[in-house]
Amino acid sequence: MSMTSQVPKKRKLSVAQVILHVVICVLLFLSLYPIYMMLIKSVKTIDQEIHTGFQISFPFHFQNYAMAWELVNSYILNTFLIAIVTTLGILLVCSCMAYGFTRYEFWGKNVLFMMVLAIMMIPSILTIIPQYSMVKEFNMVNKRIGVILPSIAGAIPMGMLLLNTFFNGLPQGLFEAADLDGASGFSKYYMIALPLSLPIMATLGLTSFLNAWNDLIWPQLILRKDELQTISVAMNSFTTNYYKTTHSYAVPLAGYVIVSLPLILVFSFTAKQFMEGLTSGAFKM
Amino acid sequence: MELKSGDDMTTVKKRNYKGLWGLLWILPGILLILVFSYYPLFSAFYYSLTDWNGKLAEFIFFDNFVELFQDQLFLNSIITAVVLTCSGIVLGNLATFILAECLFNLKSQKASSVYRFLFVLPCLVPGIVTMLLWNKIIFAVNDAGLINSILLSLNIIKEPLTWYADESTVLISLVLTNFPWVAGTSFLIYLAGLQNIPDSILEASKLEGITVMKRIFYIDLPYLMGQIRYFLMLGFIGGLQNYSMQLLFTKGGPFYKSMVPGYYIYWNAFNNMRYGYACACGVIMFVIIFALTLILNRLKSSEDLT
Repeated sequence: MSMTSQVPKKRKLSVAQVILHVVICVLLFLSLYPIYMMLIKSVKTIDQEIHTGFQISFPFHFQNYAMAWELVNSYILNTFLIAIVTTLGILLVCSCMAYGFTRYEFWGKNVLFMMVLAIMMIPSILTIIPQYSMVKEFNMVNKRIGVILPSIAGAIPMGMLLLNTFFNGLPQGLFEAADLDGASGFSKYYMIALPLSLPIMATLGLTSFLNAWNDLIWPQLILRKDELQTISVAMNSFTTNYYKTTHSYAVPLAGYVIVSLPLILVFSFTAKQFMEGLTSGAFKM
Repeated sequence: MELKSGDDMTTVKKRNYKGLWGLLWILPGILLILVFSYYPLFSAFYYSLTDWNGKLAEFIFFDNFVELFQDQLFLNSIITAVVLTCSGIVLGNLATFILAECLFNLKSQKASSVYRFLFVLPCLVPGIVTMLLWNKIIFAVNDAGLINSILLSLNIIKEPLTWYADESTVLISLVLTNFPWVAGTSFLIYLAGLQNIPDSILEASKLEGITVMKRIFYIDLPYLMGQIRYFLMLGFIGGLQNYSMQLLFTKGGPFYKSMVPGYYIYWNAFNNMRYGYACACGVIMFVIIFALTLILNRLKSSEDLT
């Protein structure tokens, strides 16, 4: 290739880069626009909402947030309680199972392993009705445990498989050395397996937390009392009822911002690990 | 347990003893799935042959299935779910793939990581909030809705459209929800796949001077088969069962136009108290999803390439 054709090619390349930036920014703008609108509409008075619906309007009316906080704080606490217990339960049960499957030999191990994995093939809309009637039989309606236990059970196959693969890759020598020191099974789990698998536990923990935080069907079926309701269930009726009396969405929108904050805070501290876990290349078939 | 720990234990006994410990580690999980997954599974199959109403159940053999195959509402709901799922999979994967390609070809690493963070951000907002924003603000039924006010000011429409509340627009509104469908974590998984393409191959393609389009079709896409298969599987299984929009807003309406099998099951069980009939719907969905999983499993995997 001669020098003369080299120069325009270089300029062409930077044009291509600019086009890429433009495409990405348009997609980004469209993706973030609902959030932007939620933020600017959440600080409007009823008057501002009618006259300048989609622009920023001054002064900001932060009283909406105080009002919204009064209405949503109990829902945040309820959702957090359920999500944290579910997540810890999933991590505990799945790591114990994966430890048992990778570190021990016992009769029927393969059958039991396949039995756990086979659940992934069962659609949840098939089992939801018998599950619900069972939870009712157990007297767990209007109790948080009625949401937590089915959620943990539902997360077992995926979580166990993820941890199982990871535990299998742990260096064998560490466990053998611990055996020579006469370490018990529990101390090998607690001192070797758990600390070494922190990254994968973080990915599993965050995904479980996100799922529990967004769960809609189970809380809707089980938690009928208002004082037990979670964000997913309560926000809809809160919005509709508020709109009926005031014809305004500003306070509900302020509420949306408030209920969005906990997760955004959790993720801004863990974004790096979380994104690394997702880009590790494990997600394919 | 008869075994006592001690030096006189034979190796056989020791292994058995260890085996019991192994079972003990997996016991809590096994108990949970037996109670909350396997028992409901088998009782769902059993109850699909009964007229269970939540309390009493009489065995009626295949009556539920005979009724289901003549139930126009149920058959239509399957078609609706297939349409929604397929359009969702095609549009969503196309959009996330385009975004992943853009980010992959970006020279500046710093800009790329900022973009990545910002595209993940919207999926941290609770799902219910996103759905409410689309329902109450973007696709709101009156002229205060965002899309309505844009279309009105451009004089494209004369009267505000009622989106989710109109039988002619409800399906297209459901498909358009979350436009441009890229926010979330899926694009990261495609990006990871692109980054895994060996440098030597990309270098060779550059030396050969092939066009970007050719590179995408002959190099990138074949290398992404593993990810594509993962998203197809997840998309079909999740999409055919999804009914959160129906549960919260459309209730399967207007005129059952947005009815999907998931909500039909929910509705039959918890509104009509026809638990047995709902279980039969579930069994049919299980068969459909199971067959789809088997078919998708046979698709060529990226492992075959290397």
